[in-house]
Formats: sequence, C-alpha cells, structure tokens
Amino acid sequence: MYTSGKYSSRGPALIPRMKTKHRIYYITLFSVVLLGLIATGMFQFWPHSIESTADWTLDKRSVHDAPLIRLPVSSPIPERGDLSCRMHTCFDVYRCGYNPKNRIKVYIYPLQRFVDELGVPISSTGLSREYNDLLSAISDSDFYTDDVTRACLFIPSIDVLNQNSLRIRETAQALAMLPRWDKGMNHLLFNMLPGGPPDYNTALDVPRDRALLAGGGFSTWTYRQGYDVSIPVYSPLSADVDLPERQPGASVVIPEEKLSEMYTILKSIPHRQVEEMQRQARWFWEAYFSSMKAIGLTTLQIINDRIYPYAARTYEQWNNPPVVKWSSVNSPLFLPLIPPRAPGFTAVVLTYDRVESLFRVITEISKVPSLAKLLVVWNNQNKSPPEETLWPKISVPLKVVRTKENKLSNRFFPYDEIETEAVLAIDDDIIMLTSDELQFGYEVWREFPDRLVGYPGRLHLWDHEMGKWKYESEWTNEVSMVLTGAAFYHKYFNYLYTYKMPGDIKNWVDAHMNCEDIAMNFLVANITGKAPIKVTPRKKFKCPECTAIDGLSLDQTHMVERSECINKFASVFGTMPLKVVEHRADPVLYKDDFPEKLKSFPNIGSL
Amino acid sequence: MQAKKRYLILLSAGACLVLLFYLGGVQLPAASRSRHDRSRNGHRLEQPWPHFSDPLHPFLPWDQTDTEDYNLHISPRQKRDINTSVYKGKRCRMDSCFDFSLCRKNGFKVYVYPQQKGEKISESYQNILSTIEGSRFYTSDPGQACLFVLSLDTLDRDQLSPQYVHNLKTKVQNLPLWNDGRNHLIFNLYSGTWPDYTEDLGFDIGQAMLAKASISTENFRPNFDVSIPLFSKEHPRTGGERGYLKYNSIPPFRKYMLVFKGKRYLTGIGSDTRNALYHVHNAEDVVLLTTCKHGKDWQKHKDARCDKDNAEYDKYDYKEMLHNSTFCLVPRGRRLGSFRFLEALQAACVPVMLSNGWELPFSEIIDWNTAAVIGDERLLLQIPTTVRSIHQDKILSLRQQTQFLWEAYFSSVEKIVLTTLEIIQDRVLEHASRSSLMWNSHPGGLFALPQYSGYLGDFPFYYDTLGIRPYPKFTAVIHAVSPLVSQSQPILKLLAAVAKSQYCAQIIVLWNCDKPLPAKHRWPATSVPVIVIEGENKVMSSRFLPYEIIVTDAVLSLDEDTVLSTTEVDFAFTVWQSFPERIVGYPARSHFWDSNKERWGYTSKWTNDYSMVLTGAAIYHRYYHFLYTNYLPTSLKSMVDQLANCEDILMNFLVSAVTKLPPIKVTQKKQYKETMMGQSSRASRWADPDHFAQRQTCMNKFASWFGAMPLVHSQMRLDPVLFKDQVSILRKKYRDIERL
Repeated sequence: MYTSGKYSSRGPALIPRMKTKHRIYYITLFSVVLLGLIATGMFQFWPHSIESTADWTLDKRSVHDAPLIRLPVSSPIPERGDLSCRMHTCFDVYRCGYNPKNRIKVYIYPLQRFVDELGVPISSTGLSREYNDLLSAISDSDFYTDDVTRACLFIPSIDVLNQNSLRIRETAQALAMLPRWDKGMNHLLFNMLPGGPPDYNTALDVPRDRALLAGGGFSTWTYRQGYDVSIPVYSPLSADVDLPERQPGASVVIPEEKLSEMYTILKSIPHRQVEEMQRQARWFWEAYFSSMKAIGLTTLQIINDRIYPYAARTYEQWNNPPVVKWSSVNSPLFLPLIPPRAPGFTAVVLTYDRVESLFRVITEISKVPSLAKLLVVWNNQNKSPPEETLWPKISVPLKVVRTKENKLSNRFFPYDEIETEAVLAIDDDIIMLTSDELQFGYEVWREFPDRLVGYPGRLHLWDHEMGKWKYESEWTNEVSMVLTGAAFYHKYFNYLYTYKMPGDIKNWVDAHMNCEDIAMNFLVANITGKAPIKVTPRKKFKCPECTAIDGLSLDQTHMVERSECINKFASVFGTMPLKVVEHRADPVLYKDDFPEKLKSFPNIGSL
Repeated sequence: MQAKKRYLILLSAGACLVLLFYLGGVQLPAASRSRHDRSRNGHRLEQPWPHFSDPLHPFLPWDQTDTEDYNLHISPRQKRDINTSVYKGKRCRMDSCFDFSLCRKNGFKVYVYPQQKGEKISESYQNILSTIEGSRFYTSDPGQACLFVLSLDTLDRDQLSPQYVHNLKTKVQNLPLWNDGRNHLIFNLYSGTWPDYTEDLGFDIGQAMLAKASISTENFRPNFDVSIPLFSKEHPRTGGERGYLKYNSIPPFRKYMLVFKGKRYLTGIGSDTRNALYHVHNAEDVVLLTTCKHGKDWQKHKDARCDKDNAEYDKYDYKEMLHNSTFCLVPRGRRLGSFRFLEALQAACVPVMLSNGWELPFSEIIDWNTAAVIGDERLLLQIPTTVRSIHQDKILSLRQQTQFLWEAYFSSVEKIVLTTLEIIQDRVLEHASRSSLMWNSHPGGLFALPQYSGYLGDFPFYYDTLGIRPYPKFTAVIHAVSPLVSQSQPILKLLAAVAKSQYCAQIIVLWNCDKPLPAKHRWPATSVPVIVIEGENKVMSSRFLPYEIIVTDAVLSLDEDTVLSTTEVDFAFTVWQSFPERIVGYPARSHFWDSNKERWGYTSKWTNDYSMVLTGAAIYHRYYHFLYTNYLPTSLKSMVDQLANCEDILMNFLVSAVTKLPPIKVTQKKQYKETMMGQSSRASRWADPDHFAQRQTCMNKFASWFGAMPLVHSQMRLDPVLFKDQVSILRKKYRDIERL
C-alpha cells in the first residue's frame, strides 16, 4: 500500500515531461495503483468488517494452531511437590515488589501442544473448556499482564484440572520446559481432581516442585497451610462445595466419628441459624464458586492478600454478603472505651460578626471545668476579628481561625488546633446553657464517645399523607436528632463530615446555609447505627433577650426546608439511618428529693 | 487527443489515489485505536489469552463421573484409618493423633497430673496449672478427662537455662496415663539453644499436642498444635493490665511512625534482619535502635557499627517510644517470637511483624491482618513506605483491634491458657464451635460461648453487625420466696402490673419457697401466660438458670416484693432495646475503693454515680443467664447460694466484665425507691443486719476472682424525654412515672 502510494504521488510531477514513449510507464503506474486498490478493497471488504479485522487474530484461533512441542524422553522432571513450602520459603516476593495498587501481576504462558517423542499428546483432553474459561477470565482481569518480566505469578497453559486425563511424567516434563519455570517458583497450577488409583492421593500427583497448587479435595495432610489454595470442585453436574478457607457460617462440620450423632447435632441447630447458613452458603456459591471465572479470580485474590497482607480483605469482606451490609454497621469507633475526663474538650464556636454575643458565650463556656481550649472559627471574610486585647480573658487557650469562605461546613472541619477527641460545637448565641449542663454533657459524652450528645432533641416522622419524611420540633416523646448549636461529639466525625460525606450533601448544605446539623446526625447514625443522646430537659435555644426573630428557628420556611433536607439526605444515603429513642440523659439525682448542694450538677432544669 | 487521454489517465489515477487513501486512511486510525484500547487495559504488548473457536471438551468427561474411579470404593474414613498409621509425629492431626471418644461422655474435661514431690515447677508453669485447676474444664478424675496436662514443667527446654528439667524423657515415659502422648497438651515457651535454636523439646512428645511459643509454620501442625505468645515471668496470673489506649485521637498519627529498640545479634540464626535495621532508621519518625551490648563477651564480636549503634540506643527511652509510636517493629530474635509482640499490642502500637515463618499466636482463630501489619523480612527496605501508605481509618481500626485482642486473649496467663483450651474445645465440638466473628470482635471468644447457640443473632453482641434488632418482647422472671397467703401480697400486684405491659411475652414464677406450690387458681388471670416452675434446690443462683422456656431475648428479673408500674416496665424495656448488651434497671448501687481498709467498699447511699443496678428489678439479655451458669466458677456461685445474697452483685460484675461498660439506671417512682432504700419490706432479706456486711465481703471476693474490678461508674440516669417537664401531662407518654 505504501509503495503504491509513493509511486502515485510521484505521478503528477512527471506529467509536464510526458511523451508517447512514456505511455507504457503510465500504464504500468495505473495498473499498480489499480492493483493496490483492488488489494486494499479485498482486504477491506472480504468476509470481515474493519472492526472484526482487528480481532480476527484473537477470536477465531484454533487450539490446533498452537505450536507443537516434542518432549525428549530424557527431558528433566521436576522434584515432587515440596510439602514444607511456605510463602516465605518457596515464593519469590521480589518479583511482586511494592506497587501502589497492591495488586499482583499474573502472566499466562501461550498455549503449546506437548507431545512425547512418538507424537502422543501428554493429555487426553488437551485444553479443557473449564481451563480455557478460567484462563480467559484471568486474562480479562486486572491481574493480567502480558509482560513476562513484570509478572509476579505465572500460570502455565498446561491443563492439569483432571489428573486422570494426564500422563504424569510427561506433564511434569512439560512443566519443567516452561521458560520461566525455575523450580516452579511463583507458578500456579489449578487442579480439581487429584489422585488416581490405587491410592487416590488428595493432591495432584504431577511432580511440580515449588509450584503453588490451587486444588480441590485437599486433605489436612497435603494442604500446605498459607501456601496452597483450597478451591471447590467445579462441576456442571453438581454443586459440591468444598469450602476453601474455614467458613463456619455456612457449613456444619461433623467428624466422621460422630456420624451416629449427626441427627441430634443437626436437629440442635436453631431454625434461624439454618436459614442464615443457607443464605450464607448460597452467597458464597454465587460470589466465589459459581463459575470458573469466580474460582480463578478468588484464588488470585487469596494469593494477592498473602503478598500484600496489609491491603488484604478482612474476614468480613470475604464473608458478608452485600445484602447484610445494607442494615449492618461496623462502627469505626468500636472499642468500648470510656475516655478519661482529664483531656477535656475543645469548644468550637462558629461566628460571623456577633462579637458581643460571642464574647458572652466565651465567658460562659470558660467556666466549664473540663474546657481545654476554645477555638473561634471566624467565618466573616470582610471583617477582621477584634484585636487580641479586646477578647475576654480566660484561663484556657483561645485560638481564632479565619476561614476563606463563609460556609456552614467550616464548623465541622477537623482543625489541627482541636487536640482533644471531644469537640463541643456551639453557636455564638448560645448563652443560656449553664456550666453544669455543659459539664454534664461532657460526662455523658465520655460514656458514649461514638455518639452525638446534645441538648434540644428533634424528630423525623413519616408523613403518611404526603408520603415523605417530615421534621418535627414540637414537644415530642421521642428523639432522633440533636441540634448541633451545642453538641458534643468525637473529632472523628469532623473528619468524616469533611471528607466522607456521601453525595453532594456537604455542598448542598453550604449552598442553602441550613441543615448542617441534620447532615451530621445522618452521618453519625449511618456509620454507628446508634441514636444520639439528648441530655437535660432543654428543648430550645431561646435566649431571653432575643427579640422577635429568634435566629432562624422559628421561621416557617426554615422548617419546610428542614423537612426537605431530611428527604434529600435520606435519598442520598439510600436509607433512613436515624434511630428513634424515647429517653434522655439526666444526672442521677436529677429532681430527686435530695439536698441540692450535694448534687454534682444542681444547676440543670430549665427548658 | 493526447491531452485528453493524458487527462483521463491522470483523472483515473487521481481518483484511484483518493480512494486508496480514503480506505487506507480509515483503516489506519481504526487499527491504531484498537491498539490503543488494548494498551490501556494494562499495557498489553502481546495478545492476551486467545478466544479459541474450537469446541473444547469439559475437564471431566460425562462418562467418567459415573465410573467407579470417582465413586471411591473406600470411604474417607477408611482412607483416614489407613493414613493414621502414617500421619504420626510431625504429621499429627486431630483425626490421626487424638481420641475423640474420650471427650464424648463427659464433654471437654481437662485433667492435670498430680504434682510429684521434689519436682520443681517454675512460677509461670504453676500459673498455667492453677488456671486450669480453677477453670470450669478441670476434672480431678483422669477417667473423665478428654485432655491431659503434665505437671512436669515443660515451659523452658533450653538446655542452658536454669529452669531446664532434666531426664524429662524417662519421667514422661513412666507416666501411667501417657499413652504415647495421646490427648495430651504440652506447654512450651522456649526450645532449643545456641547456636541453632531448634524447635525440638528434647524428649519424645509422641502424639501430644503442643501449645508452643515461637513455633514456625514448618513445624506447626495445623489445627493440632496451638501457637501461644511468648510471655514473661511477670505476666499476671489473672485479670491483667488493661490496654494503654485511653482515647482515639484524630488524626491517629503519633510522634513516631515506626520504632524498635532491642538487641542485635551480630552473627548466627536470626541476626540478619536486626543487623539490617539501620538502613531504615532515620532518627526522626522511624527510630530503629539496636545494641550489641549483651552477653559476656560482646566486645570480642563487635563490628564497626556497634559503637555508633550503642550510642544512639542509649539516647531513647523504650517506654516513651512505645507509647508514642503509631507502629512498632517486631523483628524475630534468635527465636521467631519476642516479648516485643505483647508489649506493642498492649501499648496500642500496631505491631509490624518481621518474622518470616512464625505461626502467629492463636493464628487458628485470630485474624491478625486486622490488628497487625505482616511484613516480610526480605522486603525490609519497603517497610517504611508500606506503613506510610496505610490509611488513617485503617490505623484507627488496627489500633483499637490491638486493644481488643490484648484484653480478650493476652493480658493474663489465665486468658492465654483458657484461649488455648477453648480453641481445642472448638475442634472437639466442631458443630458447636465459634465463628471467626465471635473470636475477632468484642467481647471475644472467652465470653461468647458457642454451646449457647450457633446463631449469632441469639447473642447480645452482634445485632449491629448482623443489622438486626433484638426480639421486641421480654420474659419476666419473678423470684418467689414467701408463701402465697393473701390476695394483697406484692407479688400479685407485681404480676398484674407486669402482665399489662405491651412488651410482655410471658411471666415465669420461680417458686423458691419452702412451702408447696399454690394451686393454679390462686394466681391472677392475666393476658399473658404465667408459668410457675419449682426451683430445684431453692437456691439463689437458680434465678439465673438458662431456662429453656425463656424464649425472648430480654429477661425482666424481679424480686417478689418489687413494686413496679406497667409504665415503668414499658419505659425500661424501650431503653434496653437501645442497649441490649447491658443491664438496665431501677435502683442502683455503687462501689468505691476504701483506702483505709485497702479493699473495695459497697454503698447503697444516694450518690451522684452508680456502678450496679439491682437485679431485683432489671432487664438484661437472656444470654447472661447462660453465662452466669456456665462461665462463673462453682466457688462463687455456691458462695452466693450459701449467703442467699450477692447474686445481683455477681451478675453486675459479670456483665461489666463482658461489656467493659456500666449498667444503665432508668428513672423510677419514688415509692418503689423508698421500699428498697428503707429496707422495710416484711420478707425482705434487706432487713438483715448482716446483709450489708456480706455484700461488702462478696465484692472483694468477686474482684479477686475476676483479677480486677470490672465495675464501671456512670453519672447519668435515663428518663423519658419529657420527664418532669413543665408541659401538659397529657403530652407525656410515660406520665405515670411522675405521679406519686
């Protein structure tokens, strides 16, 4: 094609000098171009379209095209499988190295047909359908590499799934001939049916030296713990699951010696457990064993986890079906821990320009014994905070951070200045909370460090008429949220709010300047599965001298918007995570007939 | 003409050219595009596995499945019988070296050989033996035993050690019950000695199982041996220190990223890794310190780096590093395990293991990837990059898990030994063994007994993980000790009030009165079933028996003279549903440390905090009945029975030991409080003057068995949301609680 193109491009330059005797030249040129055109056309429009041409070499190849390799009788045989092999002795980790994705690279040898000197194949079936499926799946996966120099794991294309179709010695010789064999180091073999008459070994009899074996039917003696991978015997005829690693959730293991007791044992399993096991077993089957693809990729994932254990999937990830995860929670603060009182808490005051009120809040909070530090988040970009000398003098450190934008989410940013795990978020107009109320709130937070602990409680309700959620702030007997105008919580939730808030909730809150507290309640309830704790009788943050417009809270449109928030957040979370409770926390002796001066927190009680 | 022809030729040539380029031009980008596509999927330079068009055969031909080759003649059991003769010694497995039949009759019972006179036993081994003797598995009758433990000290098998017991071989062989070590468990911390530190114990262990520290994967017989942690002589027998983690700071990074401080062996086994540590040390956040100063003649062997290393070593304080580091390196020593492992675990310093081939402690049940970073000695230089790449969330979780594991399985010799025994028991009673979740999540395998139920949802601990809630009804258990004489007796009022609760499924009256059962018609008619059971021994502990007729998750435990209203019961139950693993009750009590008398004190005074709620009126999960009956030792239970007192204290100890949290007090009507406080009820045992002194004694006895004081104080009480608020009483759901 290129040649012809070159010729013809020269054509026009020759025209002016053209003579009759050159006609022959032109005819030749023309024929060449025509021939080129026909050839191109043939190539283009012959049975395939352009697209399939590219795939032609992939799709329609035959196993019979694979190169034939003749094994000399004297070809070396690998050692028998080394039973003492472990990852640190028989596996070369340097090949896998450090990689940021923590994913092993797997190379598959190209298909070859091995025959002995007489031309008899080493296997009666050759490449089986299942092994082909398995190799295709691996080659389509992220594990695959075609660069043999970068590979960490090698998979021979020699099919050893069924030992009975193999000639043992010749298969072993074929393995040893693989260019990167090196005593089987980092090679992975898949075998479903090991052993043949008379002794029915439980592992593949083909000598394979250090090669890893993913096998079905291992016994506890042939399985090299932490090295081999136990896989189920895949058969389109039966669903015979031989569990790979210990999966106590999905099967009952009964020693043969106890066969006589089997009926009693099985009867003793509660019905709910049986259902649970059936569901679990079905899930295992579907997720891991149902196809050769699943078997192959699961095996590679297991090996991957051994090579990069710090990136390994946890037991829960392996075993919990996604359906369970929907309602199940694993709180990130799962250790039952009541932190000591001593570190205290950091009060974070979000303010814009209400300096007078802010100073009063600072003065009030500074009386709380466990206050460790005060952090003022100055959210006004047009105005500088007051000079240092004007601020109230308090006994704990007071820091001011200036924000770049006037956003509500600045209140929940995990500032480095917050050195305690307890945070008290407080508005710059909350001056009504007493020192006792705040200190008691902190004490309650210590008992529930994984929850939001706040004062006025709020509720979400299902509005049957409208068919959607509704926000409720009236005198209810129930609580599912606490306002963050004054609430204690763990600094971890600041980190979650800032970096892990699902969907566009964070931006939405900033744009609407509302519902940051509802968003925080959703976030905490969703990850912990727990309700917030309302402390003390406090029902609203109404300051005595606040005039007609009581902040925003009384505004009717504001309430409608808060209902909308709940609906929006529920749809973003895909569920309603809020939990409703009917209790609040009060000091032990609250309202008890007992001398007030002997009570730890006497000054509690206003609404 | 010439020109015309010329133009024609020129035109056709041009047309051909255009066509050619057009077709070729289309083809070229297409080809390059497809090449590009493939290179994106992992830079495929060659072809991936081809898609063969041939009809391939299945690996298992249809006809083969029916041939007898696949329907094996011999059963797996027969095969195993053949194997058992082969699989002995180093290849022992439970099937070949353990006699299950010994455990069938009496369950999992452990016999300890009587101690021979003149045999010296180390303190550590003495602790192991006394733990077993004090456990619920112990039997003094070898005929009942399923497992045998030697009284010969096998902990230290290093010939150079002063603790080494000589002639062990003959001593063991002469034991009448030895039976080639079958069903025997041998504890060992050290084996082998300089220079090769083999894992040989210096005597023939026959078919005995090993519970051994520093065991290698090569020698470890899976599901037969148990890998235990290396612990020091000072390791406490019971209780044990709590983990050092007091709070979860955010971000979770500490002053140092990775630290280590320890000996360096210049030559010989296990020296390579520690010798290479200096490559990774950066004196800033990765501080790996070694010293050559150990042994008598260290100066003879010292190398060029020793002096510099030693100087650097002395600059840092080990404790300070331990408490201020995110990760702690645990490289192998001469042996695979080291003390550093438990130290790091307790200090919430995530262990980074560099000990290739070490079968980690209790690896059979602990998922170490959730609490440690398993490194590879061969990839030492990558370790800093690896630990730096671990996400904050993961660090937070690893750190908490170190604390859970430390407190659940490692903090005392007792826990280590009991964990070992429970692992073996799980193998023996395979159908009732713990799941990995039970071992690896709070409260851990020692408190989650699989004999109770195989279904996780029956326990109070896994509701969140399973995403389910407890059954929304309760069973009331009323402990009756006085005869039924009048229709105005408190028990009948109580019965009526409780039965009216919308959450009540059934009421059980436990008749622990010496008088015979009253006739059926004497009990009031209620909407829920009332079941009267006669207490067998009429003892106090019987109120906490795991009666099969308790079908609900929640139990409302009641004294016969308790005064409760339906509203109070309803409210307490809704609170319990939020805290199903705790005791939720009404009257509360507190403990304190009496520094004058150097013992725990008990108080029933009105205080600003509490640590117990009385089980005369409390809701808790029925699992605690099972735990009380099966976990606590007979000594404590019979003390309670003899005194007919303290059962509530013991229950509070137990539940707080499990949850590590205080109980929850809910609000109550004043009148009830006064009957309890004033101890005025006629039949009440509260009237007994000895009663109070007994309870004080109980507390100290219980604290000593638990090895520590498990009770935790709380300063809050849970009230209904509108409790005593100045709002119309009609708005209040639990208004009755406020009425006098």
